[in-house]
Amino acid sequence: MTPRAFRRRGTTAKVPWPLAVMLSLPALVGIIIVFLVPFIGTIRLSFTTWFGVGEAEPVGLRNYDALFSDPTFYSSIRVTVLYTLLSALGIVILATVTAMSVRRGRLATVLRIVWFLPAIAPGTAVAVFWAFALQPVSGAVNGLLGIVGLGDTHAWLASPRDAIYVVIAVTIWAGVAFPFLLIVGAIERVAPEIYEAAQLDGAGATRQAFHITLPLIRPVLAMVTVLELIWNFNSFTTVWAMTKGGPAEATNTLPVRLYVDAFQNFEFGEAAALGVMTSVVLVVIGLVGLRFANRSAV
Amino acid sequence: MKRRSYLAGVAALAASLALTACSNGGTEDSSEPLSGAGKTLVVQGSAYFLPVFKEVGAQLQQQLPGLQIRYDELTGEQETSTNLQVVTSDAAPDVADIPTNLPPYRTLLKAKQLIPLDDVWTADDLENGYGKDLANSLKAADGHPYVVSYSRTLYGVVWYNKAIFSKLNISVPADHQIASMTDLLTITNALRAGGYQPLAAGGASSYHLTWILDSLLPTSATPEQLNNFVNNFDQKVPITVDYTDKSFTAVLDRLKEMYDNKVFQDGTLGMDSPTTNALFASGKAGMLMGHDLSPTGAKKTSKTDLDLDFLFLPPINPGAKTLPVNYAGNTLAIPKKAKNPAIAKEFLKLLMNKENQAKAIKWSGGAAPAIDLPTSLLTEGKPANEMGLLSYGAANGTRDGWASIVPAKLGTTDPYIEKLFTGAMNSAEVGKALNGIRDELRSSS
Repeated sequence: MTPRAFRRRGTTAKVPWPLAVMLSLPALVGIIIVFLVPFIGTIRLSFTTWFGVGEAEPVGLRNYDALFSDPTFYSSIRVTVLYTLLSALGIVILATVTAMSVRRGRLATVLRIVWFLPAIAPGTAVAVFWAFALQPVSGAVNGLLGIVGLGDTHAWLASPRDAIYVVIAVTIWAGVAFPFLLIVGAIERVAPEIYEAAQLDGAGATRQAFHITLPLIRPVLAMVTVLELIWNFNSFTTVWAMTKGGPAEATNTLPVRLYVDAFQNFEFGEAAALGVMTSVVLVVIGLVGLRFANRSAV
Repeated sequence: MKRRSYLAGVAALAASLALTACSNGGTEDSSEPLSGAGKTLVVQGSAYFLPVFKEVGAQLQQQLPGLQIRYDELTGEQETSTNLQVVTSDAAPDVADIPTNLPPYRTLLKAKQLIPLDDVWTADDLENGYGKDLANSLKAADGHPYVVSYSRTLYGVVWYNKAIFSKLNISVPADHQIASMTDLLTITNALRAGGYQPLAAGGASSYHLTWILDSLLPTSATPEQLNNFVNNFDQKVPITVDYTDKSFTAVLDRLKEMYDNKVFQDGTLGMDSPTTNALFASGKAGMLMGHDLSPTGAKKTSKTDLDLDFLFLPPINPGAKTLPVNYAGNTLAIPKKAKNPAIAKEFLKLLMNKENQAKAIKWSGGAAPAIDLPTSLLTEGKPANEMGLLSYGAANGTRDGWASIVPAKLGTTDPYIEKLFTGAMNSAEVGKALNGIRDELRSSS
């Protein structure tokens, strides 16, 4: 193959289609096996009743009908949207602020390690730790509050009003490390000369952050936001380990509901219908996010 | 040459048929004497009962030299969920932990994935050992038993810490029966005033609140009503009482009354079973909603010799007695895909003989035997407080737990009780929701 076979335009290259197909084949096969086949299987399952073993019995649209006529489905959607938006925004904002704070200075290296620590701990261990720590009387958080005179009987996880926010806070704490690393990497790619020039022009740290750093790392921020929206929409571990969807279904997100339908009630058909609906929402989020990320990159 | 290739073909076919038979789980020839050499029996069980299974396994290994046994510990979560996939897989255990009130049991029966155990029942005379009612409830619709119930759990029991009660001068009724809500509140208020949490119950455990419902329902419903509640999820049984009936909603109202009066520990709705048990074991709560093995668990957690005794919650109808609730769903089965079904049956026969059932009380640290045993066998090596509960049950009777018999979808009422506590539903609405689930089960039964 000669270099002329490649036609460059901007940063992308046109590759002859047989070579393109050949190069894409391993990835395509992988996608078909681990994504497309199970997804088609899930769609088929959503039109059946299946209890985990034996033959699935076709039931048409009954699972979808049951889902849409169940009022708790809509409350699950509301909880999931709240959880997703607040967790994703919280993570991105906190990761951005902390990444900017470690851009320079003597403590930069130490702070980077400290901020990354939560990512090392397994998700379930983190959730169980916080679930214990937040208990009234016996929990470490309540213990500390008790020492400073703020009372040691706060039962946040027992309150249908507060529980979701506590779970969101733990999700943010546990999830901030990875986006933090990505954003730190993006900030480091901004040429130092730009900051030096801004400094000469009298721009302070805040102005530099809003007028230089944030605009220049926008593509990374957009990508991180989309990823966080998708991950948190699908998040199961933290919610399940901390509240199992309770109290009174106040934290019953769609993934928790799906798990209960499939693996506790053995209604795999209904769970599959829920999975298909969730996938549609995620595809929409993904497409909007990609479009936004592409625009940001221009 | 032709003849030789024909014979080779027949041999190959025979070999492949033999291999197919092996892959379907039939590695044992029932006409041959059992041998343990080169075999590994896989036995599932919960942490509470694995010590019992290990003792029985050791006896089996003496009978079958060379037999290896692997014990797979299951959590409650696994029993309810992923174990169905394990039991139906090619890596199926030989002895599977399949509680009869959880969804996997009915699913496995429907899919004909369990081996009938008539011969195990006959060998240990379990028909008489269980008694007619329990024996019938353990059999499938085709009249065959596919499980053995190896232990009854007595639940719905309030364990209290005698040291705390003594320190606060809280008196307890000699007959273990708290007579009224006023008496219960006197105890819980005294505990709170003394700096202790009152009744520890795992509101987020998904079953502790239903245990209370189960213990109080027989004090509200008549035996006929209770019998109908237990069976009317089956379309063959006519409905004579609804879940919106006063006999059921009165229990829900009592639960709400207990919650509103702070009978439970602070944050009960955010605490699961381990967190709740830890609170009690650490000496921060005076009472625990539990079962006959709770003292063993609490002592293990606290690593101290807790001095415990038991009480029962006040009945709904004055004069009625609140009794220990009987759960016979601790059951084992042999999956169709088990590699050593004949040896598994020998294991079950050993587990269910009278001597081992009596010894299991000590091995487990207090679990009630599944079959009726002579008193002489019952008292062997039994810890005092659990023996007290067992004797109390023997003298005063036990009740069948509604939630331990009906399918889990109907019997798991904790999410509704949580809504009741938080004001999202009232007792009539909970009853209506349960009627709906019952009707759904009837239409599919």
